[in-house]
Amino acid sequence: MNDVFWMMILVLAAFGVVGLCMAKKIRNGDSFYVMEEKAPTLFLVCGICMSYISAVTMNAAPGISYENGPFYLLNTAQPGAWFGTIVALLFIGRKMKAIGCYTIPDYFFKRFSDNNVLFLGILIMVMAIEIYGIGQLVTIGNILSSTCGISYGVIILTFTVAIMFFCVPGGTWGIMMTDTIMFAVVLVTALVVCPLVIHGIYPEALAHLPEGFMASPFVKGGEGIGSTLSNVVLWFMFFAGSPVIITRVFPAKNDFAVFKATVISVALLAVISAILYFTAGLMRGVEPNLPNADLVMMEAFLNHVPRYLGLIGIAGILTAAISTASVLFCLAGFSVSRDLYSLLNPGSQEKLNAVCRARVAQVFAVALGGLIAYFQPASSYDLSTFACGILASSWLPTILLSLLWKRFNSSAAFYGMSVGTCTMLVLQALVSFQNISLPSWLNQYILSVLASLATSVLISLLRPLKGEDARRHYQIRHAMLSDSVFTAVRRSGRALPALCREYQRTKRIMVGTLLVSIVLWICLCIVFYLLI
Amino acid sequence: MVVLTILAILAVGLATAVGIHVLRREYFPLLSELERNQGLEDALRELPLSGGQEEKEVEP
Repeated sequence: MNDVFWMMILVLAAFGVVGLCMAKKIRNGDSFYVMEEKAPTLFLVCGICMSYISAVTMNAAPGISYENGPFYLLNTAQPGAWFGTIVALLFIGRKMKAIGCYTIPDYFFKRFSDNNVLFLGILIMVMAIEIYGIGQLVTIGNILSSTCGISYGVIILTFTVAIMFFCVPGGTWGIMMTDTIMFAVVLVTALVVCPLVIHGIYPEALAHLPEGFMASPFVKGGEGIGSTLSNVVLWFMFFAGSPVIITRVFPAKNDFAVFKATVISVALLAVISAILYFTAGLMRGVEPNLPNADLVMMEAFLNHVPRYLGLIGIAGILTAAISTASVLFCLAGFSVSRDLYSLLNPGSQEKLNAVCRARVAQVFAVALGGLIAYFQPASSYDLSTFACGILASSWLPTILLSLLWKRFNSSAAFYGMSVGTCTMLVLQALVSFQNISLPSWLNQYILSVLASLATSVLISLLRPLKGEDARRHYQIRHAMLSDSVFTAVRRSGRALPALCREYQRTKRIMVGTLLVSIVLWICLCIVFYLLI
Repeated sequence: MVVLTILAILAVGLATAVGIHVLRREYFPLLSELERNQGLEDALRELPLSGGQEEKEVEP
């Protein structure tokens, strides 16, 4: 048991206490699921960033940057993910919040009013989200078992219990509050610890990097422009269809907070990703023969900065995985306690014992994830991309078509989601177990999305348009989050001046963030060319 | 690095542009009308709350 072990205990104890304290905020189902829609911009920014920054961002992606150069992901996958995040928050999330959704299956029911679609939506949600969460736990287990000398099983058990403390007592309150504190740790890791690592290794690392290592994939050629662009599209789909990102909008106190949080989050995520992947890429120059590239950031923090700073960096890696895992298990629990319950008990009082039921479902979702993670079914990166692939191939075409196209009906949604998921499962099995290779520009994820899209369009065109489907489509299309203005004005006589100030302040903050980003990125660009 | 800089600024710029466009389209007309017309604000306060979830008028 070394200092990494005690740091882990400290992190878990601190966040566990915060999670427990949030239990007093829970008064009813609304407070458990969406914080009674009171989340300010700060909570949203931290929630969005910590949902985005996962074990993949802090381990697997730096590992890829270590092997292929920092720009391999920074010029392809990351911009795709940023644009996907914008679509998920500003287009899909806002629209779902405007019609009062608490979960994404909730949206399927409101749009299609069909139990088959709802059941399939819940099934996909629970399956994909659990797999994604298991991926986070596997990462934590692997990192700590290799550095602390504790067995993998004990670590998984410890973190499973700890995540229960984050999600079960306080629901979304607990998640948002712990995310806010965790984001401070990640921010220090990215903005202080990583630059110190770079400062420590810079001249030596640069001299020993392979030729062309720092070049953009667009310049390198290599796998070709088709493969590079497909990587952008793939990560766009992963994030645009990700329930983890979309549902961060639901607790927002108003529309203004959503806009401010989106712009600030995208700006922060771009800088954080760039610093992390540069650090990982430069590590190749000083430690060219790491046995496990995924542990490159651990190596950087343990061996290339003073010990106390390295421990903060490791805390950053752990909190990234814990926060994403806790959000994921929380969403799986919400789907079981709210959507599955209402599907199985259509006549019951949904609000009766809502909090108790939600907490039991949380315990079930976390325990199931912990149990499967104990057996370490696959690597974290494989599990995470597989889960994202399932969500992108089943949900994304259905959500986008249902929001944009009035002909899109419940049969098309059901068969589109089924075909997308089945295609993804079959192709993934063929690629993983039969060693079938697909061209990188047309991989299993893109093929599954295309299959889902084609099925949905075909069935929508073949089935006659029902009046009910069209009516629900128009209801959703015309529901706007700006209705909150009416609500606020009617509640208080002093609301109007406050809204006008908020409107102006939101515009100023968005434009200010853009200007700061432009200046910062130009400075980073100049520094890069001066040093490299 | 130039590509990354352009893409990062483009992403923040897109989010800002969408935000300002939606704010101007959905909020500006209502807020400016309410500011001009105090009677309208009082009338608005009398209406029942919908929260964006009630049935809205359907296009033919």
